[in-house]
Amino acid sequence: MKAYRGAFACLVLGWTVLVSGNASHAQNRRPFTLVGLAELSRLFSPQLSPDGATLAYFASTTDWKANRLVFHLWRQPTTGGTPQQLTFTEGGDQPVVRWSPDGKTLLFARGGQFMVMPADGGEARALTNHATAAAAPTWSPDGAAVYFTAADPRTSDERERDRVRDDVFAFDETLKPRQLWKIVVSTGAETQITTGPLTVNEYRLSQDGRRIAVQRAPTPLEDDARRGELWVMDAGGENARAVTNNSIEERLIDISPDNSQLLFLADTNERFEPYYPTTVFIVPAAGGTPRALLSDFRYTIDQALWAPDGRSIIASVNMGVHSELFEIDARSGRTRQLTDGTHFVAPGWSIAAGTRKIVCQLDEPARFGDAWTVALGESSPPTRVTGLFDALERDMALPRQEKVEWKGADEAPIEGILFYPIGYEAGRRYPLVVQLHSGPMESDKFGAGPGLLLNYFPVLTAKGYAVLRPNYRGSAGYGAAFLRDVNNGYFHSMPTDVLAGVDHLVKIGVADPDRLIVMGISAGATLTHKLVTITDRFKAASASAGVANWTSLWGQTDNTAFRATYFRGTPWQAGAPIDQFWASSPLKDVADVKTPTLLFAGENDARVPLAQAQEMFRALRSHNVPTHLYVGPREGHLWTDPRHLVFKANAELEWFAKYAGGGVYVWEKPPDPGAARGGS
Amino acid sequence: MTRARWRFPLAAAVIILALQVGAGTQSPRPMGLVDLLNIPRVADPQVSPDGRDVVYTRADADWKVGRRVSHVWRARVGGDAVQLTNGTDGENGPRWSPDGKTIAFTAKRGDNESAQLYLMPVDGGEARQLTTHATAVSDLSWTPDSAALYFKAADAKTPDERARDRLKDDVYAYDENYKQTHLWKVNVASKAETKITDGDFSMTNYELSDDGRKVVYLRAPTPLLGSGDQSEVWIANADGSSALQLTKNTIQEGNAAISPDDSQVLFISGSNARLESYYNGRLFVVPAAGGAARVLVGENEPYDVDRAAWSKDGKSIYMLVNLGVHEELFVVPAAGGKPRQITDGRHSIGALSRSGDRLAFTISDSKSGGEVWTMAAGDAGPTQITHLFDYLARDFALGRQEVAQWKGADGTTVEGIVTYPVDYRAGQKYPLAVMTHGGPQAADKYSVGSSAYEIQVLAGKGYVSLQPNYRGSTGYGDTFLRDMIGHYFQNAHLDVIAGADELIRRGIVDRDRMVKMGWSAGGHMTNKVITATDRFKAAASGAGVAQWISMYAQSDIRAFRTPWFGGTPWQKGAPIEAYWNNSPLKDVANVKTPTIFFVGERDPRVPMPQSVEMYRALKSNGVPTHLYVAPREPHGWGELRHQLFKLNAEIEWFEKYATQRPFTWEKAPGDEKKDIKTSNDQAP
Repeated sequence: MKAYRGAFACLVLGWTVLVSGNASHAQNRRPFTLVGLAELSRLFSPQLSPDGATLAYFASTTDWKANRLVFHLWRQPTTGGTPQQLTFTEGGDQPVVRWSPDGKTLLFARGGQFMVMPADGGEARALTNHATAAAAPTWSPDGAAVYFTAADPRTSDERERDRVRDDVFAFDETLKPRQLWKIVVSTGAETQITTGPLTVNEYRLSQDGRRIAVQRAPTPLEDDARRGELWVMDAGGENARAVTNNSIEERLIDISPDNSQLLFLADTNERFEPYYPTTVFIVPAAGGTPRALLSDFRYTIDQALWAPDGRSIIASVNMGVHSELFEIDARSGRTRQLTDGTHFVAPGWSIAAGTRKIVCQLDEPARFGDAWTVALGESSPPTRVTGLFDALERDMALPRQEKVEWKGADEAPIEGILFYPIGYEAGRRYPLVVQLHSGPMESDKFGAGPGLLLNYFPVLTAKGYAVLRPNYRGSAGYGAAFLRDVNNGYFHSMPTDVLAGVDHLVKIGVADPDRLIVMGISAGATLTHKLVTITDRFKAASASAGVANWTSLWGQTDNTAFRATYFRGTPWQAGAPIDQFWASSPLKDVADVKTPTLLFAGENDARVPLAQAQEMFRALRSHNVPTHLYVGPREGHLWTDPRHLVFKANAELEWFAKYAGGGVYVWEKPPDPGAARGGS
Repeated sequence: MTRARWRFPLAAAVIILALQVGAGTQSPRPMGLVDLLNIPRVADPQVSPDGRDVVYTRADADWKVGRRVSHVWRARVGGDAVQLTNGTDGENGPRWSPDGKTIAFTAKRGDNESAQLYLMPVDGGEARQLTTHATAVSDLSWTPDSAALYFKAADAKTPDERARDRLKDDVYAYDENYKQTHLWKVNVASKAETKITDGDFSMTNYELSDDGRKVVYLRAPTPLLGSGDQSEVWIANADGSSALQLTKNTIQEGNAAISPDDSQVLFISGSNARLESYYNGRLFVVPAAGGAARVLVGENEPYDVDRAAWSKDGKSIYMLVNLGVHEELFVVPAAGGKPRQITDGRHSIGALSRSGDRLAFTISDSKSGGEVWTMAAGDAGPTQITHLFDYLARDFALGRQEVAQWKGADGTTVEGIVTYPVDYRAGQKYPLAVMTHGGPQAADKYSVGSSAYEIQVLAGKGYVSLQPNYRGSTGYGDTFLRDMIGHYFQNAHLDVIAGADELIRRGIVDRDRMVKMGWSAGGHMTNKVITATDRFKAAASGAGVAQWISMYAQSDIRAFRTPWFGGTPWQKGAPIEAYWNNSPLKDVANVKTPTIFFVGERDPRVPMPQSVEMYRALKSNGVPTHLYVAPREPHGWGELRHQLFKLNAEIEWFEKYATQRPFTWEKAPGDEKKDIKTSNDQAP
């Protein structure tokens, strides 16, 4: 951070790096350790001040004592200058920040309540004292009030029952609906905008502050989002009416600047049939049938917002191994690509209306998410604002990332990202770790990717592994047919696409065919389970939160609506397609597995519950296949405790070394803050 | 004058009676839910060396802490029972020292993190802590000279493991993060502890010989229930030396005990003479020097041997035998021969122990939760020691209990326990609650009920209860038990439905007001029955299975389930059809019966995902349902408020859908004035 350089100078360098990769000074750079990776500070929620002069954001640090990430608020001039830390509490804050419209106040969240802090000096004070956690703040345009959402509180009956541990609860029925609220900044007076049993999944305040668009569903349950509809109402909640009436989930809504139209995203085609590449719909605010803005668009929309002029829509678009910003004409649907690079535009970007600038984070091969601005209506390249990853780029040995392409069994073109081992020498073969992304309606892109410590590619490549992240069939960003390969039976081309990618890397001389490893999380773990049932080529495998048995997963998971097209129905309907469920279950062929396979599961995972890993584990064990099932207490679908993540990576590296590398792995120990007091 | 003279004593007698029984002058009232939960539980009766006293544990509901707390009590024939211990968290496992001077027990007291061994003088004074073991101490046995005690304890966590816990670096290897359990000995005078067994195995159960020279124990590869079928009987010198393996098989042994002359070892197993599993309980004897185990009782008798104990002279063996709706004490010559039945009644016997030539056990029936009885070798029959449950028949109007018999679909005779409404009148038709027992290797007997099966509460509300011993139950011979082999649901669910039909036929039951309920295997049965018939207007299913494929892997025990389907669901050529065809989920689209589900969040036996599968299936198919989850609870719920919630929710559900009567939730003691809404269905 000390060695921060001017943003403009850095821009050129950054752009060069993107194009050329950073293999040059590899010998001077330090290899990543797991602890080093765990301690890498990351950036969250970049927000541009209304005058565009200042960027506010959160940066994380790793607190080994509390065993979690801690977030603090930072500020930095966009024209260069030293970043300044603004909050310092030991427990940190929630990484959400919003500038007041006059630019004089920063609003952020601490302990579930909003704080306001003068932007030009002075301590923060609590704004809300709500009974439940406040979220999703939006300033009214005059800066007098802040809208937010909060769940209805538990009743005094419920609290009393909890107190005396009379706490049997009705499963799936105790979630409280979220409501939209408004608080007056000067008085702290709160007004409830929405009431009733419907839950507010998200909302958007119009730019003039007069209208609110809301997506409301019957319950907060994951599966009920599809039963939700788009509503519009006056800013005080009056004249609420439903704009849509369908069975799709409307997400990421936005109101056009003239309040006449709404946009939203949905995973459907123009006929509202499910499981298509995510696309943009536009619907009149007065109601009507939503119209798909794009036709024959091969890519997937990640996020979209109205441009300030209301004539176009800005969108971030998943193009497979990278994602880019696009401008889409709101009438014709004509598209124009604004950026191009080996990067991922992280969702959560925004448009600072006054300055006509987009502020976003770019995840790149050597910079894992600095904040950038992109000027609308100009053709200049993006401008990097922060230098949070200067030291990473300068000092750390990071692998070369390259797009690789091959053909699936049916000759379909498949691509993926190859991470070369640090110090790669052409002609030498390396052990290969195949990492399978989750979703599967997702794709792997250039950059760090999601779950840096779950996948720890900088450590793997530092230890001499090549890493392949294939965008197998079912991935997003490659068109509807590619995405929809999973429907009606789930495993079709998915496993062979992965194996063909491995063949390709063996053929071009990068991968050692005798030292192949496969690992994945969620859908990537389900695919890992499947792969070890059909081939013995992998010498070791690791699967986190994967499906063993679709017949049982269906009832166990909190989200079947999303998966509804995978099979020809539910396992509990009359005439259920149970043969299809079973034929697609890795457990069916588990007797064929020879690959030593590690399993990981979060004790509180609602998406792919622990029970799935139990099925896989006890089956593998009874067939004497080397395996362990590591369970993370307190963890959900994706693990978050730094110590748990380091444990997982240690266990995997040891497993890979034992079964595929031939070496001995020495576990890395995270710091022990209590050791000085006599701990081990 | 004459009138006045006899009047006074009568008045005094009434006062005395009132003092004794409190509200005893009132007429008996129907049993409420709290009344049911307040019934004490008696366990572990132990006769003193002189044969005059018995100590036992008695657990009473403590509504302030929300669970039953067990204390050590002492009683003798004709005397009042005296409570000996008063610790906040209770005490367990009392054992007389052979010299009769000391009672040992285990308790978690003060700042201790786990239960330790305490010694209490019999003739007065408080107990003192003997052990300071790193882990919980259990299963106490005195040496014959009263100088030392054996106990069982798990190995302690290593310093490295404790450091990881402290840092919350606590990812754990599932099914591998156990600690082996071993046998220890502690010297009373020096407090010195010695580890008797050691190694990478678990000593899961043991018994010391009468002379204190030998110890017999079960050795398993892990302490997990799932490796129970891999446990074997071992015998060793009392210091652990010269350990000798006595069995080597794939069956699960239990109740291993050494004959008084140290020459033989008896054990019990649900296995036949060829050492194949899934049979009624057999009594086996094996030479202590090694050799083949032979069946002493069970191969030729339709008995299910539950417990066994050597007589003092070693010439005979006492047994508790399950005979279906009742359980009886038997004795058999140790050399073999015809078993002789000692007791006979509409009751159940449990908790058998022997001290010297005297046995202690509990007897429960339709009006008692299990009084302590003793019997000496020469006695014609047992003698009742305690009278804890006399108040039940006095204070409560209890439904009459009898056995009903009917024919299954294949003509086989099936029986069950019928409990009538308290005000039953012949000719009138009543609502029926069909309750199916867990196991399924078990049998329902005469009893006062439990928090899972509230027969007498329902009797007070005008329900008939039927507890059928459906095919697959124990105590009716091996053919009856093994009807489930190869499919699970063959005759079992048809037997249950036929039982309900039989009570309709007899004119006792109103066919339009029938409900179905059960826990564990009784929940499996409930889930199956609602897919097979719409006869039942409401159902409540606790910790039941949805589908056997996922259940097989999820449960902590698997081996005993394999015979139902002919293999594992993951073996090459797995019998997946048998798994699926016997899964309630397969036919769940047929369900019309409004059904609530209950499950403990920490149930390792029939884990929560099974109930979630059933619930989401019914919900998705539009059948009225709730799934009630109890935090912290294992397979059987233990917390009083959880049990009370279950009873309230269940009866409300039955009243709503089967009898269309209003129901007011019963509140926990202390909550009477609180206006607390509890159920979803009470909400406006």
